[in-house]
Amino acid sequence: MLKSKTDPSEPLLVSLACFLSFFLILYKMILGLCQNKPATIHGYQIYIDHHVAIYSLIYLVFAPAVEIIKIQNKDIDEMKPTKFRIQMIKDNGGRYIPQLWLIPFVTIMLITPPSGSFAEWLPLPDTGQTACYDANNLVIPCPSAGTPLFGQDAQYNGATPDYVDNTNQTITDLQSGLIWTRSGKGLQFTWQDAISYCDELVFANQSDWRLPGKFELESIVDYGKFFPASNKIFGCEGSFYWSSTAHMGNSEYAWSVFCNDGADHWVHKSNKYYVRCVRTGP
Amino acid sequence: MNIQFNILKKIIHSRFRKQINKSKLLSSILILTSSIFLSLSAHAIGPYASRNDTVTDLGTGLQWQKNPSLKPHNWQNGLAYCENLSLDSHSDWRLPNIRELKSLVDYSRYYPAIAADIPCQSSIYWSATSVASDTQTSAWSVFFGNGDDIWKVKSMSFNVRCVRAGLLGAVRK
Repeated sequence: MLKSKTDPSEPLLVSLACFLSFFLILYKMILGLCQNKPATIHGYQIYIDHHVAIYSLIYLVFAPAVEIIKIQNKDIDEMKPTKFRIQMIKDNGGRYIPQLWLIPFVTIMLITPPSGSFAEWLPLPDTGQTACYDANNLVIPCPSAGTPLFGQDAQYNGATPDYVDNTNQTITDLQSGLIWTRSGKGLQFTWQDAISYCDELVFANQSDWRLPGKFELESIVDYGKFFPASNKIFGCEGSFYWSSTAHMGNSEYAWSVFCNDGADHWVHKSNKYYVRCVRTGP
Repeated sequence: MNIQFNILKKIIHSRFRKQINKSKLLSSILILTSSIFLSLSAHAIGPYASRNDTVTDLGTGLQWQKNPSLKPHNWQNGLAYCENLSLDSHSDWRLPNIRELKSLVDYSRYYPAIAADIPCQSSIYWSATSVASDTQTSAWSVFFGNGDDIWKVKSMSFNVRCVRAGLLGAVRK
């Protein structure tokens, strides 16, 4: 009968390592989790499923604890060890070292600096404004730090938008992962019809189109441009575009974006405006 | 939490029966601390992680000034107010651009259209983005009653809420 001769330092070390790695991966995972984007670890993009992430977090915290209890309070026999574990115990001179497989995993986690971008809107797309303006809104050379008017939009960079024209009347925004239909069919709808138009749309071999939310619709606005206030590849039919976001103050109104200046407006749902459908890639 | 509690109970129980085991004591402390952190972080997996003076949006990575400026500023003074702000031992605060400012708006709320964790008057707040037209004398602002973006003449005075890069974000040119 094998009796466990535990060396208390071993489970404790594993427990410590797990404990430390827990905090490092927490930072990566929570950000990734919120936004459904892959985490970047040493240049590899690792897509973490919600369930995998949650269970591995729980396991990293709970598993060492459970193993400590097992080996310190019970005989190996009571643990109903598998063949593999019996062999492992024999190889280690009667000692049972728990969670050996965790060591490379934990090592990778420990040496990986928290880096990379995981979130859909992390960072937000840049506004596109590159000019500096004075108090009367005339274009001026950008002021230097410590002088008046420093700290304008153009003096801080966000993430540069990265669009790909798919040449099938759709455009992919590599930053947000959203795929847009190019505008230009001249069709105008009421708000309710706009929602069903996108829902029923079969275009570019895809059928999962939907009307964009307000925040999505505004993500392609370029605040450095005017008439139209977006990259020309999206098209602008000179008027309002519907978003799927309703106006909370009055149920008869919903939000739209005027494509020429990029401003949002709450407008009556029975008005007829243009539509730009979106789907989440790929 | 139940499982953890049972484990702790077991460890404490066995300590009274047997000799005091240093490793058991240490591991129980470890389990306890990690469970506390786990439950704390569970609350932070929302959009906002709140501190005394700041609120971090985990969705955008931006860290926001929790309580906006006490008195309204015109656009130029709003820029200066944020550049000179020192808060939560950071001094790299700045006036948010229009996209950042609108990322705070919660359109499922009304008067104010913002998460309940963030103190906010239903008034107009400046952004650092100018209207890109030489026929305008305005900058972009957001009305936090319903989240509407509005052009306002730069000489007018409105509230200011500053932002910094936080987790990730805009970098000075």
